[in-house]
Amino acid sequence: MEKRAAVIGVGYTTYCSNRRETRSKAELAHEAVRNALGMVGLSIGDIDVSVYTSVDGFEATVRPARMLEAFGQGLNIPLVDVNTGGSAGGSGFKEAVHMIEAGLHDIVLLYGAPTFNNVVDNQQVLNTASPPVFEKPFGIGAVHMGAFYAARYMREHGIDEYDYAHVASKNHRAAVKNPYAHLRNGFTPEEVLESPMVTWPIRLYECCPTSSGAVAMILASEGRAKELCDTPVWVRAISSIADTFLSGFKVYRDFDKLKILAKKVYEKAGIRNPLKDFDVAELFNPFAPFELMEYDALGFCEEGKSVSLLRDGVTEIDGELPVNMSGGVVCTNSGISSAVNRHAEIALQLMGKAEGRQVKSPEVGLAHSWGGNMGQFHTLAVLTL
Amino acid sequence: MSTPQVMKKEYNMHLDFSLPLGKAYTKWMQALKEKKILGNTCGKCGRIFVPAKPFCEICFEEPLEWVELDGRGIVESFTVCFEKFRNCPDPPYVVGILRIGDSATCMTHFIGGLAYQRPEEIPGQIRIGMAVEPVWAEDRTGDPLDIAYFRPVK
Repeated sequence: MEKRAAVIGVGYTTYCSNRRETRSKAELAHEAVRNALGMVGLSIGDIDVSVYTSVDGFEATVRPARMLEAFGQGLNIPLVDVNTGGSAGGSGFKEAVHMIEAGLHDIVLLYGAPTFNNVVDNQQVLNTASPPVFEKPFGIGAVHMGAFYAARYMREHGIDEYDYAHVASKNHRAAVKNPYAHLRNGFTPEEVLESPMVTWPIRLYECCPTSSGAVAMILASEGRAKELCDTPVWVRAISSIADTFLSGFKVYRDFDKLKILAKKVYEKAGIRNPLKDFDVAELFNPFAPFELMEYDALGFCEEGKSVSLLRDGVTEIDGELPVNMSGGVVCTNSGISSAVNRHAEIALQLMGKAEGRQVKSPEVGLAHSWGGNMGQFHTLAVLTL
Repeated sequence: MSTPQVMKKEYNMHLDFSLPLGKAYTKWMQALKEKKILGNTCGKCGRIFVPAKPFCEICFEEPLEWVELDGRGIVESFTVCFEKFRNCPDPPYVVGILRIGDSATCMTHFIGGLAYQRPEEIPGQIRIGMAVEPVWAEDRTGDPLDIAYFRPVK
């Protein structure tokens, strides 16, 4: 029988613009890890293994995983480095859960690093995620990758640019209440529509910022979780899916791989009606239009009908399934941290510790992450009390 | 309240790479030099691929046959970039996800030759499913940029 894994601790730093960051990578790591340990009254010596998440290019060949003392590296424990592009946080969370379920370790530290605070030109580095020779030379950075999806989905289903602005605004308004969000401007849909068009159809305020900040999580095996925590958040199901490196078979009409992944994860978790069964969700939306496409892929509504959920307020704080009450990636994007943040937010929501942004008594939550060239990877986790 | 000054240290890396392309990509690139767009076909499932593939990732078999196509394709998605990024073209520029012939996979390339007075009109000039054809570059070296861009078929 599998041993269950639970989240017992979450630690954040505050988030700011990467350009204004004065904290070193070591200081950020220490603060996030210390806060996570503090939530459960553990010390660094209690950690059995550290899972670090990283992504190419931004760290050059100087991999912080190998130089940061914040992970108990002085204490002879293993360190696991997971890289699946922007979804590495979700994949790292999955590795932590698997290690516990396999009975290998009892207390796991997961760290979501700040990715952007070293680099002078982020789009230039993001362009390196694009396959050389075949795709990189065509001026494709992260925002262009997002735009291929937003453009096809818009044309396929007759979505109005106001709807994209509306979903961005929902996230901006939610972030105002989140003390750990970076952008807390609360833009209205009209303000979003007035922001410059970056790459059609994505406007500036529909686009994630480049933030700096970090998050750490402590996961534990069942016995230890019950000893250490009043409200352990159990991982009922988690999985991931990979697509090809080249753009390949994708037509960007939908998140078809996420749909496949959701079916697998829902079956394992006993989810039959996602809109009813989930109480809260954090979906990966570095580009606000992604959130609508994710409603479809995750079965919250029929294909192409996501806008009606948005317009009916179903995914607002007082709706049937609040989505991205943190403000999402579109308001806070520290890179790899962003994927871990989705899991951290759901854990905090279920623990009743989501300061300012707490949904009423959630018991079942959904955490999603996405990343890699043109969205090569998705991860999906169901967390419960 | 004054915040203490925090130093920043700069460094950069200049790294050179030389990528062996293997047989299939080499043949495909060399054909571009001759203004030819080739595809290759999986002997097992019959899917055709443009750009050519070293093997079919569905069947995990090596493609067997090569075919020459007229290079026409359709637009599956696109974006029009209005901002300037380092190492990216000057805006506005259009990148398309293009399906050449009956290829099971798409390729990325520029879309050009569009008529517009203001850049904001460009998205309206492009339809999903629009037919496009290659416009060849003068200087060709065996590279996807031997095609300068794809333009709408009149």
